[in-house]
Amino acid sequence: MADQANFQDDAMQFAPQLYSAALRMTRNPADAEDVVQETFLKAYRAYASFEAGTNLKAWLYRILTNTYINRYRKQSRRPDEVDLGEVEDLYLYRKISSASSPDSLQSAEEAVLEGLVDEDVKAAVEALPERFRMPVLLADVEGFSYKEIAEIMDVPIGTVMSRLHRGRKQLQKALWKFAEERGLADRKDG
Amino acid sequence: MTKKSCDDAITKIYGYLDGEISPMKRIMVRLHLRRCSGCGNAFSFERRLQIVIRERCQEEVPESVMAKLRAIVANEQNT
Repeated sequence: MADQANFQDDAMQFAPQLYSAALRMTRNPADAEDVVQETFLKAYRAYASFEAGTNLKAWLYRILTNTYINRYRKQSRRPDEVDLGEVEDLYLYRKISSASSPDSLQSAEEAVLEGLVDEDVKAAVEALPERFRMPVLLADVEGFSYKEIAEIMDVPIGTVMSRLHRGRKQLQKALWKFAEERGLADRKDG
Repeated sequence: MTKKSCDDAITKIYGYLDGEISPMKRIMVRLHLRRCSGCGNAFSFERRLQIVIRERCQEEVPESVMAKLRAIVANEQNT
């Protein structure tokens, strides 16, 4: 059992990460702030039921995710198979390869990885449909394991893996669009 | 490298990069990457992309938000 008196010391260190994640979920600062506040209130009240010594970060993200979903569920309960079109594996890498010559591949890779700015990456993550955005966010930004994500989202681990895989491909497609718009990958001439 | 061994490696790319495959599969993938520069390069790109995604999605929390969170907890503690 965790002691509520320790909540501030134990949990506040995760506030910046929780806020970042809430921003990617809600896509705007006012809603992110609301979601994080509600998360901390619920977490404090439930803290006595948190088993001290287990994964506090994952426990907080579970509350955050549920809070977000309960608030903004409306449009998101669509079946899993909404057609996004199939995207091939290694989408971004293949696009960069075919836009550059073998000699310039390495510099083209660097140009894309260096040239994509924070706003591009954030926008690409936020553009993902919710069921893909959550696992991508939890895995790629927050660094949770598949098992932790399954527990946070309350879905089977196989579902996490397939959504993460498809979400990453969609993300790469979006990133490629930004790379093209910025002319980052055009290395054929040198 | 044969197409088949490359396809095998690519299907394991995220399990490999995420540290979510068995030690045996991990060794198999690593052996392939050592022999196949094409896959080695692709894996290295994906790894660097993961780092880019993580780094560029970080946010500064406004101090006003932190202050409100501390106030919420303090307020709860006093009731």
